[in-house]
Amino acid sequence: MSTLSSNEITHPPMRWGIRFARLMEGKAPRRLALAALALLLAFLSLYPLSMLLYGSLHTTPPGMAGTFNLSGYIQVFTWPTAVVFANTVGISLLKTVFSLLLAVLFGWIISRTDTPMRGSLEVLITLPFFVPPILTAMAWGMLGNPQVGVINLAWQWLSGSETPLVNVYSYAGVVWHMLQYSTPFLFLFVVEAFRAMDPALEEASRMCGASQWRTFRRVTLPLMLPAVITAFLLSFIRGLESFESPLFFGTPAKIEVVTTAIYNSIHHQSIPNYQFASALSFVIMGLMFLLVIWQWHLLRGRSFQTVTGKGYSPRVIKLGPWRWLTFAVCVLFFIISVVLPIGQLLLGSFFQFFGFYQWDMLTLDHYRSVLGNDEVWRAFRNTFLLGFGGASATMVLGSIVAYVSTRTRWSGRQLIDVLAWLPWMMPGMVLAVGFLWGFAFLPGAITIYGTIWALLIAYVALGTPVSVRVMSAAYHQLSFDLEECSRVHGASWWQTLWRILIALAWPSFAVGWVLTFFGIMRELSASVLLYSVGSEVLSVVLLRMWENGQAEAVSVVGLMMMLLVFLFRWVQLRLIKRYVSTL
Amino acid sequence: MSRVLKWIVCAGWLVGSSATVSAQSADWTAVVDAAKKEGKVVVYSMALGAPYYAAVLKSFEAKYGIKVESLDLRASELAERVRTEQAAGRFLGDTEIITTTMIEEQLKTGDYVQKVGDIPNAANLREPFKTSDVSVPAYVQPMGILINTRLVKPEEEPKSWNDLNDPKWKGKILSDDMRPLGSGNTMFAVLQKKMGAPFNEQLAEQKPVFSRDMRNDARRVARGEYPIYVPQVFAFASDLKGLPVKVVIPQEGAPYAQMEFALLKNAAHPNAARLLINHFLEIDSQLLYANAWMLPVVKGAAERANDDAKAFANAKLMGMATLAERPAMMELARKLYQ
Amino acid sequence: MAEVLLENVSRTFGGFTAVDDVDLRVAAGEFVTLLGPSGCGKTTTLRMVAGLEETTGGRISIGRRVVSEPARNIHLAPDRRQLGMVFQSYAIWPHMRVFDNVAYPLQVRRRPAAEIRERVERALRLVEMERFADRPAPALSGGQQQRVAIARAMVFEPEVLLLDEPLSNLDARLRTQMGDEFRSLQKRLGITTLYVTHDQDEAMALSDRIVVMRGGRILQIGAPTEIYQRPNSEAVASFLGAPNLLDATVTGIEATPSDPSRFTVQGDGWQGVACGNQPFACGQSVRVLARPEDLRIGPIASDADATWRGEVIASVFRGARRSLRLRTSAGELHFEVPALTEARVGDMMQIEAARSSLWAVAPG
Repeated sequence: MSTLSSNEITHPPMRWGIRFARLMEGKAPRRLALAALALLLAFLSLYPLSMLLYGSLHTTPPGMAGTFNLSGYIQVFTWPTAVVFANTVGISLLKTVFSLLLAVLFGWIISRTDTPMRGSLEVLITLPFFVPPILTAMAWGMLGNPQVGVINLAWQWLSGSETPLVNVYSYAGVVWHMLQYSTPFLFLFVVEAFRAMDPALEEASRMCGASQWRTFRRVTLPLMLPAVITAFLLSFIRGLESFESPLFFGTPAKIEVVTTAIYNSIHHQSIPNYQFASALSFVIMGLMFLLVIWQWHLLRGRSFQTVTGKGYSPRVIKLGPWRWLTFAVCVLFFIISVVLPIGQLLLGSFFQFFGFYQWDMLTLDHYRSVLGNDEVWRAFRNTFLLGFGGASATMVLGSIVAYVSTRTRWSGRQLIDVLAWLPWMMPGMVLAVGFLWGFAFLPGAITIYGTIWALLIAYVALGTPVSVRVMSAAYHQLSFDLEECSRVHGASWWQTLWRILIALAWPSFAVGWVLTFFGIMRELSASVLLYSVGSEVLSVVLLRMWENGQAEAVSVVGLMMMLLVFLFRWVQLRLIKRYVSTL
Repeated sequence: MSRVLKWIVCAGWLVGSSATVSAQSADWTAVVDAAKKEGKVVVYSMALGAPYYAAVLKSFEAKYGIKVESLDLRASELAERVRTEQAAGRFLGDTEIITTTMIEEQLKTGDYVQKVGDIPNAANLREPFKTSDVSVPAYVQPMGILINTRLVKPEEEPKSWNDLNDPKWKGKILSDDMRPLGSGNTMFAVLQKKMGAPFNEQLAEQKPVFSRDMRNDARRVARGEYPIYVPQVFAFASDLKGLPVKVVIPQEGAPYAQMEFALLKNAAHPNAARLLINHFLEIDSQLLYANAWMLPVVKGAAERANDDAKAFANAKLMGMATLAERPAMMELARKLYQ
Repeated sequence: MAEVLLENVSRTFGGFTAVDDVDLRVAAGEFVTLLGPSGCGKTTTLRMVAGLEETTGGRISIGRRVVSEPARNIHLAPDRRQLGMVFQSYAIWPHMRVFDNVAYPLQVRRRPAAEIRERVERALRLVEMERFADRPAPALSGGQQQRVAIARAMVFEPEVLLLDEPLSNLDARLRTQMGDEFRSLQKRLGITTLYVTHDQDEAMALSDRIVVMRGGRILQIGAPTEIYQRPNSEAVASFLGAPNLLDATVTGIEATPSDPSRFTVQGDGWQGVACGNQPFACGQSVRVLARPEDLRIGPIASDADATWRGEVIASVFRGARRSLRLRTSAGELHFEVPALTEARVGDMMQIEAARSSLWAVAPG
């Protein structure tokens, strides 16, 4: 099964399709296929987690003498940890709520109104998501520090005030920095959901005398519930696991969150306390699991099939002069979240040092050193290879898992859904250790450890939750008729998945692919523990540069990555546009 | 003056090379031959792409035709990978360059390293560096005080660690977090021992602001967010030339972290690893480190260092943190900096 | 062409039985309609034939091939049953052109491109959509989409065609037109057809035979005239048209044995003669079915089977006809008269049933 899912990228799917179709005949083979899928997912998620579970219950990590006890968990249930929990939940909730509001607003503006230049705005709004957080953190540190931050200096100069306007080294600073990442992330989810919706449903509401706003609130939003709730959950959970923002902006303000506590216990203890780190992670995971159950409860038994075989044509709302307001809102967000920090990086990359903008320090050295660095190119190549392979495999796996969990009544589908969720609920830093232990302690003949496969498998495991969520949300909106019609007319299960479901959901598929691809590009925790010489990936090289004081070179690479994103998104949106224009 | 210096350098070089020659016994020739046969060596290091480190590896490859694969990791990741690989029986690494305390820890918790054996160049180690059965010193990272020269007038420049406790710096010191393991705590521990307990208590009263990114923090000081940053690893300031910052070596001396080589159990290329260790202790190799404002561990390198590096290559050392005291020191720091 | 055979087919969802012990044989080339109110199990039955729903009991065969038989663990996947199907929503794939939609069944069967082109064109010509081949599917009107759906279902000349309320989304005029067109097409090609609808007019106009279902069971199978004129139960009778159903008691059986039998019946304030094909005994309660179109203002003929008197309580002009509602001792009766008939609310009148027009069924 694992070879199957990775082969599907390179081979035409149809050949497998026939075999798969044969396999799917009757019940016994279906159970077999289901079992194989469950087994694969178990290897991707359950296996590393079981290693961690051992770690959380044992005084020493696997492979060392020790005893079993609960001291890790006991340490979790103490007062200081409770404060850490409260901080974490509070920060993540705040940022998720605010960014969801923004994302829905932008999603609506971009997909449903006649706001000028919304095609370009769509690309621009999502840019911040793809910049390494450490870079924007540095940029915001330069912009918003209370002593010499550019914003504060400008404010004090304008107002004559003595006190600084903003201080990014604070609770609000942490939330703000996270907001810039979750807004584009949520936006990507929401905008596709808006696009996929039959406007007749909205029109019907308008005809019933509901105002535009009421329609939005009572019809549009509820119809998008699966997409919105899924996105909310993903983002909230990601918020709990966010690391760079609290480390950078929270530590000076003495705000500790779960991830920094884990970071401390692994990286900055006299003896790395894996027992506490993994116990804390499991407790977090338990909490997240409750959230996921809540989501199931909310969405159960409701149908959100808004894409039917009856066809629809996208409709935009004529805003009249108000469209300049919506345009301004988008532009403002773009300026604040992209132009300010990225401009800082871009500007800085042409000077010898960030923040020292003197003529005699103007240089192209950073570009030269990056472009002339074999290591960077090799890392780019590796990362691309892993990114393409990993994102494609992840999306195919995600498409299958999402299909099984949302569109069949097979027994065991919930299990598969849960298995696919698990890696998302484990803080990356800890899960990475689980992969390290897991791959290293496989039977000696299975040499995944120390090869590029270790990275690929870890990336697929880490990416699957998002891919499953993206595809489930998309499937949720497709009417069953479209799929059944294909089956009746002679298409096998696999052909139907490929030619009807994925073809119809492909804007979501593409978004999922891009999210996964750049997720892989950014992934550090697992990469650094699993990479081997020759399989260096970009994040590892960036870490080296950063630790080596080459912040400017790092931002050159970051800018190159952004250029890439720009290209990707542009091509993708062009394709979507062509697709939409055929409607 | 410069002529004298040249003589000294030459003399040092002569001494160094003659020591090498004499140590090249028949045994060592066998090691070199075996190393070349092995053809490759895998190093686990915490250098994270430092150019001087890369330069040493390059010169090794050029000299012996042996390929070096260097896996760069952060401290805890390195320790965990080594531990896991050894426990799982996947012996991918040959040697490691890690801090003295990490080797101590490895010795305490498991059986991961083997005897290094004789390394000819180790005879040339300068005081106070010594080899042990399982470790050979590689280089040293001392740390001092970083000041912003625009915000700190020359007459205000701290000369002693004690000057940090001047009331005028209250709330104006940016510091690497002293509570968790890291440079901040190393400084804390050494100063606690050498400057006495009241020093740290007073420093805590100064309310230093903690951060966790040493490279960026130095730049924040350069940009004027704070006038002072501690502890400044000398080497990390060597590439800030042109910025309004200056590294002060306090008169009491500099706390330091010492990096050492160890040979991993069941190494696939033990001879190549030994040869690499020996190569690291060549004066030319150490000179690369000295020029990056680090303290060379062999004689004859500091003298040849560039002018701007010389002070740092010859800095007075204050001491390093020990494994035994570490838990107590971390506990104390947590207490002082709630 | 193949016949479709359903033997004791049932489908349960947990404790709920959606289809209960259905027996049905659709002959090759025959047009059979499953008719019933929503929730009667007709769609589930169709979906079981399609393979979209698993059977929990019985056996389904298409041609000579058993496609579903849970007892022997047989459940052939829908794609291997060689069917054509038209969905209520048409299920036109919005990401494809008309041509691609129709070509799909051939493409997934890997037919050569030339053959695909030729057959798709033929299918589109059949439904008069050849000009729209390159149109994106969602840019079509409802009627056009329906034609495309039919073309797609027939493009590979399936042995059996399944239609799930294909006309319900069309307006009344188009519905009639499309129905007629489709029926003539089906007759011409002779495809075995299983058709699901809740619309009795549609069912009667199109079908060779109608299967009336309720509560997952078959109530009656027969030709449209038979179902309409000779329902075997009150449920069937009341589902077709909007008949008057009167309570009565059998008072005698006419001596001549004939099919159907004739009974004398007595109701509240009236008596008459009704036909029926069930063996009623004297004194038995029955329900007498009087269709509105069989009632007329009398007296006209001496051979009327029954007469009633009453007061007009509603009179509605409908163009071709006028609908009247009469309050009589037997209850309210509604019936239709020529449009120009003078009948005002409050008028008293006598009406009568045409000979052999009353039909008796068991109550319930």
